[in-house]
Amino acid sequence: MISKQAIDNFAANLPDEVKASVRDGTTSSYDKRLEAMEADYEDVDALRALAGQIKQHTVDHLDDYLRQAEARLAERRITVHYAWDPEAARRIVLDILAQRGATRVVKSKSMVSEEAALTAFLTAQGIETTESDLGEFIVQLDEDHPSHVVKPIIHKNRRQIAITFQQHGLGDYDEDPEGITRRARTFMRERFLAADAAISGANFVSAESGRIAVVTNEGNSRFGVAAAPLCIVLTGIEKLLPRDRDFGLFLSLLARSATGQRMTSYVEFLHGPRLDTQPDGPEEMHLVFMNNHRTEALGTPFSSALRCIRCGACMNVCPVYRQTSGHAYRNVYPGPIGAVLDPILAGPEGFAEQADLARASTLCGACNEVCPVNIPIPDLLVRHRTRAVEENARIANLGTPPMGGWARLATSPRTWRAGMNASNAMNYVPLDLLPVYPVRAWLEQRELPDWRGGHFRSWMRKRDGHDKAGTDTRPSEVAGKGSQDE
Amino acid sequence: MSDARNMNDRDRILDAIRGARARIPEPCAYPDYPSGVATSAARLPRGTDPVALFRRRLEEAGGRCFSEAEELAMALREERARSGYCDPALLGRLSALTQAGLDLQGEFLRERVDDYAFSITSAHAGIAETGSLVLTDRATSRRLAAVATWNHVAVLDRGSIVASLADGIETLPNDPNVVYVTGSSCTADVEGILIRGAHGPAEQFCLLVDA
Repeated sequence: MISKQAIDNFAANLPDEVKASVRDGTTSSYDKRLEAMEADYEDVDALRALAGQIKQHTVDHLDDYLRQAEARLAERRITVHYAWDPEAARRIVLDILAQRGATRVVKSKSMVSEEAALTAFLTAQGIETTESDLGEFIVQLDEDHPSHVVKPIIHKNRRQIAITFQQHGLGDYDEDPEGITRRARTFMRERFLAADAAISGANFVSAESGRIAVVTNEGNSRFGVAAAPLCIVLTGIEKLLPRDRDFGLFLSLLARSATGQRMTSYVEFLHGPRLDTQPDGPEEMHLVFMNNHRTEALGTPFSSALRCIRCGACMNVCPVYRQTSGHAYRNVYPGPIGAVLDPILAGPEGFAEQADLARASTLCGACNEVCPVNIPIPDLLVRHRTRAVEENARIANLGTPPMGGWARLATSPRTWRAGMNASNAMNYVPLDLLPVYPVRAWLEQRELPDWRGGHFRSWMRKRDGHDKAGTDTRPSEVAGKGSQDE
Repeated sequence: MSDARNMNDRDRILDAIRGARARIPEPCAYPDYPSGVATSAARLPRGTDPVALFRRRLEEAGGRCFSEAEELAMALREERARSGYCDPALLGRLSALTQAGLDLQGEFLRERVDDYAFSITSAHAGIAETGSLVLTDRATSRRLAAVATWNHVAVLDRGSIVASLADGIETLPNDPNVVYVTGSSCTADVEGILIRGAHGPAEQFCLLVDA
């Protein structure tokens, strides 16, 4: 054991196979995003800031937009429901299904349904529920959890998937990705055609029109909604956009940020039950807005986390996620945005158990730089860290040496000077043999350079002295820059 | 705040939001921005023909675009797709396909979904910037046929192609089901390897016509 932090230990014990899968998956997604953005845009940052502003505006006026969306959805004969928490969401979905006597459900990807653990719940209620996204289907067969918001099985390789398929009677062992996809296709179309209901998430809901945008590459949502007589959309209260025109910007940023595409294969705008002249599609539609502690972030700096459009770019770029994989975060949302969101979604009582997540970051800022809605993730992580200290959340501070002595030393110049010179004795101490746990843990993976306490101060003193005498002893490069400033 | 126990979840959520809004010092304003702000076509040379751009982008997304029914017939035959569904309203216009030996059926039976090697339906519009086909309940005769067959052909009027995604959004039709189809159904869930034909069409074709 090299650390007392659960996430460090999870990463240390991660099988090489998983590490390789996650590393390859994240780096290729990162490269594709960059290529797609650079190919088309002069100033990506301006677009990110604009999208961030639109979403922040939405979040800051959420009650207005929810009421507006609700009215437009009702006009389109989409029944709107509100769920305060996951339990309410599960009950609402179950009631809708029961009213129609629906016993077979096909589901497309929805992170909100993961928050509500909907698939497991419906299955336990005797409703045959099938995840139709290939990755989510494999997660379901393995009784696993998605480890990435866009690539749910980024942690698995083809051999593991082939074994899963074989074990579940989906043919003999075949690890060819094409073979795996064909088998899923054959299996799933029977489920699509037999389903009594299709359940989907929503990427965006326009408050102006009530249009629900659902984005997939596989076409699983499209197939599910076309084949079933009942359609239920489950989404978070923050998934709104003020106007239809915002779809253009957000779909452009989502496709490029998530998968490096100019456009996702299928963007479906759902806007009510099918036309009478159209033989396929639902006769009945519902939309469930779930809260689950989101309102607690409003009116605080954490409201910016509700801008998130679930593109996964922050996971792909994060040096910690790349090493730990998504499961290290123990929650529905992994990676940098997960470390911000999970403690919020856990509610005030649950914070202490999530308080270590914010430490799983180097605060390098890469997550903020790629975020299509410019969420200041590092700032929010620091705020969570502060709260963890204030609330004395035990798991956040495991393995952290007490800093009180350091604080006293660093705030008194006299003590600091004395300490700096005295500390040169450290060069003669075998630090890695000290019986101090945090020091040993830290040094296990690192080598310290020679300690040079007071060195900078004496250099500075000499420099100042020469300056006063009119002789510049600075290296020419530094001197050159200095003269430009003068 | 009102007593949460006596409220339904709707009022409870709206109430919580209203309570929080009082704490927002400066609510963010809705920004004024041009609708084409994220239009990638802005980088293209001036005067790029929308139809040519549509073709190019559709092909970049993995689709194929034809101007002649004979070319389409050849492509379908290469895919060994001989029999499929065709929107009855298009049968007259597509006699060239029948002459080329393809079997076009005006009826789509859900029980026989795997017996149709292709489906041919009309598209409402096209979007040049992204190479997207716009399908709707009004224009597209069968949602299921368009998504379930291995090969899908969207018949598109050249004159209905708009330049940018923003233009497409501005002219979103009043329809319960608008689908932007950009290339084929695909997945990269297994080790990031792109496989076409996940649940929907592996081959997305477009036949350009003049209305």
